[in-house]
Amino acid sequence: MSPDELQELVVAGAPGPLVNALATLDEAARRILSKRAFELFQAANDFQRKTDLSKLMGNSASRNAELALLACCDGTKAKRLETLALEHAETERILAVLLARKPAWIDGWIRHLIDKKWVPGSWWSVVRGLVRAGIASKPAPETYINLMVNGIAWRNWGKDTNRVPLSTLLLEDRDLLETEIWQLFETEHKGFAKDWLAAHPKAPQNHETWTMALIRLAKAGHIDRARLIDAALNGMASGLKPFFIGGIVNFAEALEICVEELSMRQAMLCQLLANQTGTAVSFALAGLTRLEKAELLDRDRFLESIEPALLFPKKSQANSALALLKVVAKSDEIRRPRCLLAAARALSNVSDDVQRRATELIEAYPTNSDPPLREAVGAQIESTAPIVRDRLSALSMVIEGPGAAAPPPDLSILESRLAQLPAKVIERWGLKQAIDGLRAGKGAEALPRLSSDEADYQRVAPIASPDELLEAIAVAVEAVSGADEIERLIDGIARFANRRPDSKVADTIFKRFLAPSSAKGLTSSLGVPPQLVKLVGMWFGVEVKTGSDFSESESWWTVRFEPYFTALRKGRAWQPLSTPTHAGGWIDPRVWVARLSASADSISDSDGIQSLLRLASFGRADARECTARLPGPWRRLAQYALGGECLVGIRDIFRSSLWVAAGRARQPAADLKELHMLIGVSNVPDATRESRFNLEQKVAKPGYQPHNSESTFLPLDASFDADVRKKMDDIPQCMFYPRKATRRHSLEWVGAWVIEWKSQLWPTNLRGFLYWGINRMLQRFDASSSVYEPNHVYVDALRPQQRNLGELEYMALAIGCMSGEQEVRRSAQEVLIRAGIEGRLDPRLFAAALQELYAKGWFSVGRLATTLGVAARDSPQAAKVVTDTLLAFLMHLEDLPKGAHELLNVLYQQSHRLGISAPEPFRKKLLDQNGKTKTARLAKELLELKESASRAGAAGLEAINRLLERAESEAAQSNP
Amino acid sequence: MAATAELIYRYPFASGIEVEAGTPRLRLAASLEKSEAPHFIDGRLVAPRAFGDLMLVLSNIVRANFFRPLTPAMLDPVITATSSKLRFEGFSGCCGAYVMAAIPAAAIDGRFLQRGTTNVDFNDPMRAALTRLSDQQVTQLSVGAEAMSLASGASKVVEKKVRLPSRWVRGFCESHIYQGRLKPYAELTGMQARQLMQLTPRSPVRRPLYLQARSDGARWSTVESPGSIRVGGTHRLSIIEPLLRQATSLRIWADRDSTVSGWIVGNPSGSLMLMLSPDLDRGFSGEGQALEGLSARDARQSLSAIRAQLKWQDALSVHELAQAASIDSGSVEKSLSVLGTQGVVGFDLADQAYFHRELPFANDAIEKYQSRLEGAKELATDTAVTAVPGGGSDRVFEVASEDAVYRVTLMAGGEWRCTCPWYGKHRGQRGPCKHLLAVRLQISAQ
Repeated sequence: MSPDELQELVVAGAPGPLVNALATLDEAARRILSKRAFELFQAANDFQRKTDLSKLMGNSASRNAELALLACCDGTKAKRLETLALEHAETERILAVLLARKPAWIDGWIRHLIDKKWVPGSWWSVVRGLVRAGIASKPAPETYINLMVNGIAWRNWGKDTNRVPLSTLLLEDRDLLETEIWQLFETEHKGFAKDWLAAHPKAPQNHETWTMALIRLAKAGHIDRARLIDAALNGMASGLKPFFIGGIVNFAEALEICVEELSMRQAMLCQLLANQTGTAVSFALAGLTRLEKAELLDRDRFLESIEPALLFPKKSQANSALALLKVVAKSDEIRRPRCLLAAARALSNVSDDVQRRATELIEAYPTNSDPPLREAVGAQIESTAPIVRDRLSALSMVIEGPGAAAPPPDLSILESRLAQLPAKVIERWGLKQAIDGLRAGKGAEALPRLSSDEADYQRVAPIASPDELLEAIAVAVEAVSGADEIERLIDGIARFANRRPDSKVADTIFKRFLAPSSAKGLTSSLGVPPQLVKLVGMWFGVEVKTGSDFSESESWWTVRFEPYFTALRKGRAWQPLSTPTHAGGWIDPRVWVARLSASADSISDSDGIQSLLRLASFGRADARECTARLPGPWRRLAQYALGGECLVGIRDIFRSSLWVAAGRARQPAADLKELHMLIGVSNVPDATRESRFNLEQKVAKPGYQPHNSESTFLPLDASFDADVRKKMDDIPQCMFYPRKATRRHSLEWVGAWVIEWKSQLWPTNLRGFLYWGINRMLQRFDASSSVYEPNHVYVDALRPQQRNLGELEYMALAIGCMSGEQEVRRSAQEVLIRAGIEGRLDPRLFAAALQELYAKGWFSVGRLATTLGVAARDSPQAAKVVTDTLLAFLMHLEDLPKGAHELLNVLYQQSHRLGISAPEPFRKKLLDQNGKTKTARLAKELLELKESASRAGAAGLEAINRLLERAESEAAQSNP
Repeated sequence: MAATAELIYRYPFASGIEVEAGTPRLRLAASLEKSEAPHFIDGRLVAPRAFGDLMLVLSNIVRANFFRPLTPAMLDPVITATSSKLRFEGFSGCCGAYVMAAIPAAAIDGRFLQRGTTNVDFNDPMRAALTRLSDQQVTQLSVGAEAMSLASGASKVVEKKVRLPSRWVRGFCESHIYQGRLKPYAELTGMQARQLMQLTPRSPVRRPLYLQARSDGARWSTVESPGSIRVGGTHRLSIIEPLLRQATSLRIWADRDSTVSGWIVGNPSGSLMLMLSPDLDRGFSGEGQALEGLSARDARQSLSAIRAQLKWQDALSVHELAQAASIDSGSVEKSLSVLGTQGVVGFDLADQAYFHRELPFANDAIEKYQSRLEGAKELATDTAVTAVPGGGSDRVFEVASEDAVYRVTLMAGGEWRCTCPWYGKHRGQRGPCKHLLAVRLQISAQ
């Protein structure tokens, strides 16, 4: 055949004649055709059809070109074939060409073809055909078996195809029954994964999963059932990833292994008890339990092997192991001491529930408390949960031993440590009062609280020079560390507005500013207000086109930055009034008055408004004393903002936004009655009237809650109108509320630092900010965390000690505690822990928020119990907040919610720890819980819980000790 | 794309378990070095189950890729046999986790036959064998094999073609530096460790968490507080969970500056040290801590003297090396650090000492893969570095790189800044940028 003849056959499109003609060629003839074959293949892949040859290549010709490539070219060129999914007829022709050629490079080519993350199943027939013909070696099992799993039934997926059962396909290629099917238990593949199609009522006829097929073949005697069982058990012990072991366990369960079969494999089952995968351990325990019931259990072997299962970190496996141990202990008096010793070992399981059950088993046989058991229990007792420790002590099992419980810290020791600390620290941490309270036996009521003062505010150092500003921008272009960094930049740009950069170094930075390489930087993060980009650009002397005009919902930024833009245009340096002096967006009122005094004549209203909303609570009296020298209008305004008399006049109506901001600086929450004369702002949310909302009922939809710019889960009360008029642009408090004028919302798909920056708009009141945060969190209430929606920042905003918690803050915290987003829950835990120690959290208000969410269907008992449980463990103060919240919440519910046992469990554990009992009104509710449910059991345990002065004292000591540790760390860090 | 080197391991047989006269023998195949067949140890495992657990966790780490779900390029750890200790070392696929499992002589009732460093074959059947080791059954262990048994032809040479990622080479250069900086932070009891693990995230978390040690254990927080340590990519820690089930303690080490942490857990068979990089997207390979050592010339003079003293010691004593080589302790420490960067010694955190090991990579490969250093050399030779006068106590330089100009500031306190993207992203935490290196090279040349 000549190259032209080859081309003619390829272009003609009919594959049959081409395959037949190629089949007769020897290698020398193929080499001659190789060049043209490759040209044809390239032409077929020239999708723009640029060459004359490529214009000849239709679909059929292109497929033929691939055949010619495989038939004539070397292995390197053959690897260029990247056809994804092939028709059945095409795979047959490829196979025919390769069978006829028997190329030496076939193994490498197959490896190249199938050693990928995903390989279309259609290649199975080619690879298998070559292996069966003895032309190719079997590829590595991890790729070959995966291809078999995906590909053996590939032909079933064609349209209108008569499906052939998988078992029949396997019988058609019986060699697979010798080796390949056994490798299903040694490799990672999805053959044993849950098959949704098989479970579907409209599953196609003859659809068979791998499990069904293998079991059918075993039943029909085509494969050995015993070998199948062994393969499955060996597969569980193979060290594969847990997902794949889970699949093998599913297969083994489907095999319905009988007791006799299990009995013959006891050694293997016992070995599986030490497996690191939970499903395998559960399978082994279920099998051994069946053997025990059938009186076939090799108890000695079981007792030798049980320990790893008892220490398994998931309680279900450990509890199953204990249950079997209990059965053996009950029926076998001789082996009972060994069972109890094993139970003592289970006391070192991390689960309180496992420890409780192990204790119950030990308690059941008090006469068996021989020295080895006492020693074993003694070795574990220090690390057991308090509820168990008491019971074990009550058994008088532990007198002394290496692991005996350490005595609680002595009050006098704590006092001597206290004496080492400065008086200011002792006062701030409330340690003296706590010790006094403890001495007076006040129990949980005397737990120390950490009060807030000026020391909690962290100073921000301003940028010192234009060079430093340039370097700070260079860093921020790549990654912004937080909102404080942005405010430093804004301040630096204002103060060095007359010293623009002009160097090659600056040019390099500016280029990166325009085309950033990172997605976390000043200009590249999601949701950066274009006004900020414009501001930085203007310092470099360039009016940056941001691709978005400023007439959007966040037009406050335009208002705020306008004086900055003007100053930059004029090259005038100035000190903004609104630059935070402390991290978190706070301004020291004394510094604020000093700045006012220096430049009261030239201050813009927008800068004044922003500064007023940031005034910290400390130093206000001192600041007010310094306002006397301020010019008239600013003097009245500053004095009012700092707590003085309200001397607002009728002419001030023209500066109503400024007066509203002053009122909000003075009184962040509630209504400002003294400003009602400022007509036009009364229906603006959070101007003179505090905004109000009505939580919507949750629509029962799993996962992501649909939400768009026209709907909200928390609509504003009808008496408010966030879109009342354009003037609202200079009332930043309303920036977060939806406005009809613009459909775009301000906080969707926004980077974490951008969200944090917006929380600094009005740090004393997060109402508007949380309004949006709650909407965002409810949207993902049942969904997992998303990189694009760092919702945890909304909850993080509640953490600083300066933050007062109000109605909306409690709602945000309650949502955070139950959120499907792990990151949000973690942030909520932190807030609970800190607010608990700081005494900022009012359990009644928190419970009220939980009640509202429960009533509206935004509730998850399990997630709430987990979050509260973890937070409560941190300190007795957090425990107290959690128990009080749970009591207040549960007490006001008509019926306990489904799954209430999880909440009662937290309540029980923490009440026990604090030495308190259930209060009287709640006891009645507990008495109503009947039956054998978990809730009823816990209700009974709670009812039996007695007040304990010793436990209350221990909790008090623990709380003081914990705070002392923190105070000591802080003192050590400040004086290293 | 990361550079890779083609490395072919030749194992005399595939690792696995075989039964000899009713006793299982775990045979770990050591890579053949040239024509030599190493045979490091032969003996009975004192605690087979514990040994299996340790090796499985080691293998899990080497197979894991915490950052992106890619198949790791290397699965076989490096083993070093000294006079009385076996050390297995490796990295996760992303190079953000370094692991060392140390098996002391007491864990093996047998003989340490030979000393040296090579790779060991960690294949799937061997992992399966490890899951089945049981204390109820006597189990022999051999690492490597006698030349005699290999010569008999009973075993088949197993050849593994592995594309050795350059990040492994660079990771080994970096890991000892971080280990040397780690300081003890806390020691938890077994129960406290299990409680901590219960609260440790299993799935990736974007934010770093802060570990706060307390008298009753330790807890995670999302916020830094006095005395806490930062741990990025915290979920990586959960990989050692199987070892904590029966552990009696967990020792935690930390370097507050770099926020690298070390976690040591022991069992009756030995101990395992997991060292975590500062963040999930930061492999040890890219940390650049070795660059200072590689670019510095002053320690190199004493290198040969120290190198001559290396005799596969378990722990290298600075004092003894100083005496033997007749140089001061400071120079010995610097030399050991440079030798670590060259892969000639490793650092054992638990022992707080260097040990002799010769990595099975060519030493010349080590500098080749330091792209920042290579770039700095180019900049320095291109006379792209210019001193800028008037920086006060700081020294300021401008470094021209292609069409960009960066400003490097060397501050009086030893700190530095640069206006380049690398510094902007990492703020000096991932070693010097190439512009700083270029400045230093030029200063030292002058």
